[in-house]
Amino acid sequence: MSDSIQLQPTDTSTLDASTESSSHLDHANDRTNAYEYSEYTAEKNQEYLESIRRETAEKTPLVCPTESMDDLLKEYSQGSEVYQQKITKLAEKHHTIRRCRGDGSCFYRAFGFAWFERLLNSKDPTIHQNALETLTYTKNQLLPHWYEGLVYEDMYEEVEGHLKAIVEGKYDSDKLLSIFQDESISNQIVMYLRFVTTAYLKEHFNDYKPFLDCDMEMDEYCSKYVEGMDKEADHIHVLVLTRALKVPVEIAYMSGSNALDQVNFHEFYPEDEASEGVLPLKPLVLLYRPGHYDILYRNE
Amino acid sequence: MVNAVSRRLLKELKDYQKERNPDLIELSPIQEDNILVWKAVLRGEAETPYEGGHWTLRIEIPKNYPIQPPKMKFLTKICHPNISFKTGEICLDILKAAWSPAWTLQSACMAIRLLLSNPEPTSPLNCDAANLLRCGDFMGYESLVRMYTQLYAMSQTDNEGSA
Repeated sequence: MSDSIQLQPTDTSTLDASTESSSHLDHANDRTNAYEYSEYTAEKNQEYLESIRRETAEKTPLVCPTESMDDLLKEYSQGSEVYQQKITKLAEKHHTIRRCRGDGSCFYRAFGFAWFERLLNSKDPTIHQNALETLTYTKNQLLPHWYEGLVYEDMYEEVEGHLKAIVEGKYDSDKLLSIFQDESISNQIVMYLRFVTTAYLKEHFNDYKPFLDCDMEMDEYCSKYVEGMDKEADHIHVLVLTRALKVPVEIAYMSGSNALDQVNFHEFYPEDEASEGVLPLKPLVLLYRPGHYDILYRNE
Repeated sequence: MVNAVSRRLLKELKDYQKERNPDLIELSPIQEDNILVWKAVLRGEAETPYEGGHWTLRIEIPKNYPIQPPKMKFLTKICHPNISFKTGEICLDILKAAWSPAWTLQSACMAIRLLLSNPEPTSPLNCDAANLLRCGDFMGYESLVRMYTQLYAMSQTDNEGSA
């Protein structure tokens, strides 16, 4: 059962305070022994924080194989009844969960994987064509307004290459999983999705400024809260990425609140498609627990 | 097989060589067989106490760049509140927690150059320089900076302090 503790999905930033402070002490002792005070620099501090982050995060693969809803329920067997009740309710319509690593990029990674997997499982050539066209649009129209090409070109090529291979039927689900578990490839995809999010935010600055909840210019907001690889996604980022790539997403928000006896779903549909009442692509379903996203599979 | 970071860095090199940047005299890998260690030479801004100086920086690029920021430090001695006089370490948020993969080596170098004329004396790595600014002795500050510029950054040969 010790596994269930390791698998607790927590973004490193929301680490249990006690774990963090105790390991902090250990390291502090090491440091006093190892270095003279004068050799302690901000750079070393940064490296050290980074190492704690990595240690915690690397216990979970970037994207995991699927697990049953019972496995998810077991995680709370000693814990909150509210969660148990909500998961049981959720399991009526969802059969499987796929966890993602809590490294600050879980939303983008979950989105990317679930999107690619939808395309892999779809036999509809229109859906494939639309996805490729939207992706090309982001590279040719959206991003060039805001970034110099060399910043995102490599990442785009990575995303496009895999998307094409999927559409051409060259990949199966094992191959898809191995791509998303490869740190270099997986992170290139995540970075591209982050750039699409920021470019769309900048492009529609006036629409989104009121949501920012801080007095900041959009450029500053994006570089502080979206572009960096450890910056977690907020409601607004989900909304924007959904619209930019025209991919509908539904998110099950699970909180410990007992005000509701079931999980609350939020629907993020691309504007034009929602208004016409048709969704060519079935919505991706993600599970949100405070600070973290995983992928859910809905019964057909 | 060229990996992702090498491919990106070669593009950056080409991009720098394509258009001359008068403020960044040099930006290239130090040795041909190691693309992960670069050298940059900054030209001090006119009408600042850094005018006329050339500073060499060493850039170490992590394997997961541009997700992680490059490590940059001054090899030529420089007097600045946010740069360590002894080690050349630079205190600039974009090289640490505020790094974004949208930066390039060239734009990061230019951000460092901008830092020279926009010191932040509240988070000093060089307390002597910062204290002069904090107590409002701008004339003293400028003469100190200019003296070190002349002493270390204006000779013909590279003054590459302790590497």
